[in-house]
Amino acid sequence: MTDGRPSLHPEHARRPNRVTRRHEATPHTADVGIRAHAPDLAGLFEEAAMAVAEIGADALPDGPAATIGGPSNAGLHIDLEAADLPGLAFAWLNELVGLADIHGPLARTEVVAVEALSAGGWRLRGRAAFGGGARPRLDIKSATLHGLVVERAGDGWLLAAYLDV
Amino acid sequence: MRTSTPIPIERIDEVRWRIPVGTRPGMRVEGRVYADDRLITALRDDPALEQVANVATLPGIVGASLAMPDVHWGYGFPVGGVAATRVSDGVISPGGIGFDINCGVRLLRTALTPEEVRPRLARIADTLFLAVPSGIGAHTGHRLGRDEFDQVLLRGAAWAVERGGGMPDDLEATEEGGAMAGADPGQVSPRARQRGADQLGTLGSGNHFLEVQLVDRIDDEEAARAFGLEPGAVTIMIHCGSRGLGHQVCTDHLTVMDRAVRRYGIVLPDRQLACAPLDSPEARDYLGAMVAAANFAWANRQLIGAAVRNAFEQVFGKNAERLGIRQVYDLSHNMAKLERHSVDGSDVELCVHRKGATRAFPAGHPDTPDAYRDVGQPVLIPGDMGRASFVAVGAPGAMVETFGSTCHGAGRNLSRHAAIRALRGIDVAAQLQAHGIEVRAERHDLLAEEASIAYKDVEAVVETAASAGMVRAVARLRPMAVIKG
Repeated sequence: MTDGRPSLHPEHARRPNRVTRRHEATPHTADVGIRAHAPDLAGLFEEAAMAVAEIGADALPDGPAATIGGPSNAGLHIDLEAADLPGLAFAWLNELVGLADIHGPLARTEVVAVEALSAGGWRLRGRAAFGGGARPRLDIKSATLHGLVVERAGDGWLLAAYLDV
Repeated sequence: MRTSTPIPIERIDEVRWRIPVGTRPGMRVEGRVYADDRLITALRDDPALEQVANVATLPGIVGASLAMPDVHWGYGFPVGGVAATRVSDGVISPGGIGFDINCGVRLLRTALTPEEVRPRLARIADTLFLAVPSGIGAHTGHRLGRDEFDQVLLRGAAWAVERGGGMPDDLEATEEGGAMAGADPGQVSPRARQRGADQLGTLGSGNHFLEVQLVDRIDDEEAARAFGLEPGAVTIMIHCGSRGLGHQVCTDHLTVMDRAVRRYGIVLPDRQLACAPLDSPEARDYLGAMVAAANFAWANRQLIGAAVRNAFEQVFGKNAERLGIRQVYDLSHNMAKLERHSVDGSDVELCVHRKGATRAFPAGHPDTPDAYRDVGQPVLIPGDMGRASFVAVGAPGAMVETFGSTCHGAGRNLSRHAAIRALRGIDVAAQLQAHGIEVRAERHDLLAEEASIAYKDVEAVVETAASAGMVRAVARLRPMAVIKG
């Protein structure tokens, strides 16, 4: 993901759908924006995570740590709730940012489910792997609530956010 | 993200502009932008102006939503934004302090001359680069234990001094004496502690830096004398903050306040302005955590200052005292303070949010260190690594118009991506080296993001602040060596 060009991910081959999964960086004077698209919410949150990973480090590593559940990195389980989808995105992206500060660059995520709760609100369950030899690029302080959007877009979903770097 | 409709601005005078009440729904006060013609031209399409208007909707805001001369697009608050809210019925907004709580600047002076430093400059740069961990994931070999951690959060720079990190005199030359009262370590989450546990004494990355400088111009001889700055003197400037601990504190409490705004019936034009009434439990919890994180940042800069002293001792083979290394000042540019100011002729207690803005207290102010009481509080204004930084002094106009505040730096005018694109094919480190500036960085390929072209001209920023009566320029500092993360 460079120069604002959308990036395609191998997930496309496994989850063919009408809306193409993609993510990109968007301009901001002092910080960095991200935009993600996907046909479903789980894919959307994975694409957003990939955008964050590519801003924080130079390349997604191909080594064992990139594979969640692999011999050298079982990944960290993540289970989050929020009152609305933007709040869930804020929680998800910041969970990844915080864990990356502790464990090393974000390598890979897998979102198992994003589901509406019967009592109201939303829940995300997933896993994330860190480290794996990616070269750190930018120190991401936090995802912000500024311009944070999670909404229907055509046949799929859009997530847009700004990161404080 | 550009504004949907342009924000109208009205000229007041040469350096003051007004965004009228009613420009955006919900504005309680006007916006006021401090900019000369050069700076305002660059701002006309900048979302920062809309952010100034948005901040003007905060409950309890008084005076105006202020934009300092280095203002640019931030998140929620613009960077270079100042807003004061009444403690009695106003709010506090963590976004008005920022994620890097107590990001700030420390300036050390030396008795060294350029003739003594230049022959050793490369070795100084190498030694500083090794002595101060920088870059992403920078950490020290020491992890703070629980009790030790609480002491850092409560006692700030004094904790570091007691462990041999610098001199007791440093505290006298630090805003708040290097620690604010009211820290509540219980409000700092386990995640924040985990992030910060081995980051004390580290520089971080991005626009954080360590710089060896030369005083190449004196603009106010009386103030320069008071600050111990002479023409041709060598100084060292440190720019960093509260690292991952502060970032997490802001994130944690922003999450709480984002939930709280609905309960308090507060309607906001930007969710990042999430806030709570100052007399609420959410606000009290945030303030306790904010102060703890601020104290962590002061401990951080204290340790880095000590590492700088050790590095110079190593290079010159003399102790820091003989090298004349003394602290000029240390101040914060991301903070909220409870202060008393005059509002419409009455003395009112306010919560002054400074997001990319510093205090600028004039001569005679009780919060100015004793040594500087006759001239005013030093104001440290870093520019960019290719041009200059400034030392200024607080002036009376700041107390009249900006709640004792002024700019914090040059302010960006290009995105990181635009700067990289503009400098494609150019070796920024080599360019700086060709101008005699030693550069050490974890990632030379990312230096373009922080190049001069990405920043406003700090001289224009300082001139505007001076024309508005906030400060007087004291000295210009040119970079000799730059260490970046």
